Amino acid sequence: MIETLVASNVLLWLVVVVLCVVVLALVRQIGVLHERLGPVGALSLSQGPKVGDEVPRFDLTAIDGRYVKVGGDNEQGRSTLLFFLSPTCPVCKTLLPVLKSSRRTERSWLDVVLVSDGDLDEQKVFVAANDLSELTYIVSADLGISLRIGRLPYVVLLDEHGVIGAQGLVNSREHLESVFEAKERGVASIQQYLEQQGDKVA
Amino acid sequence: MFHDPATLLVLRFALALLFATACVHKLRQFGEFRDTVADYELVPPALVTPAALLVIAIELFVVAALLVSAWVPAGSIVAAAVLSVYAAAIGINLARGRDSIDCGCSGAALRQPISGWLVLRNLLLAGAAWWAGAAVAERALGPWDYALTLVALCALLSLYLATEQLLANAPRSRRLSSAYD
Repeated sequence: MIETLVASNVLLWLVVVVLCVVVLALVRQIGVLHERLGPVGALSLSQGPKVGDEVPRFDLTAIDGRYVKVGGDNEQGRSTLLFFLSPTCPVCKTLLPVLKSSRRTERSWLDVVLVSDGDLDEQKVFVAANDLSELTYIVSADLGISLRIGRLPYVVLLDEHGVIGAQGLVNSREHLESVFEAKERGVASIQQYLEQQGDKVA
Repeated sequence: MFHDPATLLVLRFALALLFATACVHKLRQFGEFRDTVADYELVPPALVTPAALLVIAIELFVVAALLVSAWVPAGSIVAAAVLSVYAAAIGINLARGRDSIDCGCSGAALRQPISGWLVLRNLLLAGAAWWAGAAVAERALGPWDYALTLVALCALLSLYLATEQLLANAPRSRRLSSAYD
């Protein structure tokens, strides 16, 4: 009797360990699938102005005193990327290096403007801590409200006429690049792109 | 109440392993860990670095204490206290509505936002840490006990890693199912 119990216990432990490892392997695979299959595009939210809408003109002053015009025709024919962020948003912070490198690679046609709101002193500490002095950084609650920005970090790409070319919630480099891609292809968002692809297949 | 030494041995080693991996993550990516501490917004900005160092020191002490038989009672109490503090820190930020900050549970490689599940998990671990310090029944340990400890550790480790991965997957699964609505 006792021998049977010992044997069954040994066997059960073996099965338990193997099962645990199998479960771990399975959830790992799910994790990898998520990484590959997740919508690799900026998710645009339903509220607020749509792609193709014109943004009202704003005359603003950057944190370093520079004059910044948002909306309306751009005299140099350049596009503007509005990056909405907040010093209290951790994802925003992780995207700053990505934003800096995109600004360098796309500088032939694109101006990058960081838009935040809240306490001015806190913003200045944030700019100094993250070495953002070379970027245009404006603090304006009105701009965010007029574009109905609900979640951060959010980007809005304005073309040379102040019309929204692409927009969306960005969490990674791929998301940010998808916004440039969307503007280039004239697709409003990843959702629209997926729908069009779906139509083609159907 | 006295507990079987083999059970407590498993608990001790499992917790020591948990704290050791946590320490390694925090030391290897100290910058990220400091940012995580700052994101919790529980200590003033000037004290973030000392607080981060203190956390690492306490965790190292727990690892050492759990491995040395004579120190186990102290190690178990400190471990339970630290895990309860983590649970409280997550709970406070959830109550503040700051539910998108990184938990910092398993290093920067596996980011996972804080959630109620993590509070529960930490409280369960705190309970286990408390249990590890319970009075031991007198019994000589044989080779089978050590074999049992080893396989039980393997099982617990993979289950813990699986839970971590599931918690990290959860927000992505939610996003995936809502993105096409």
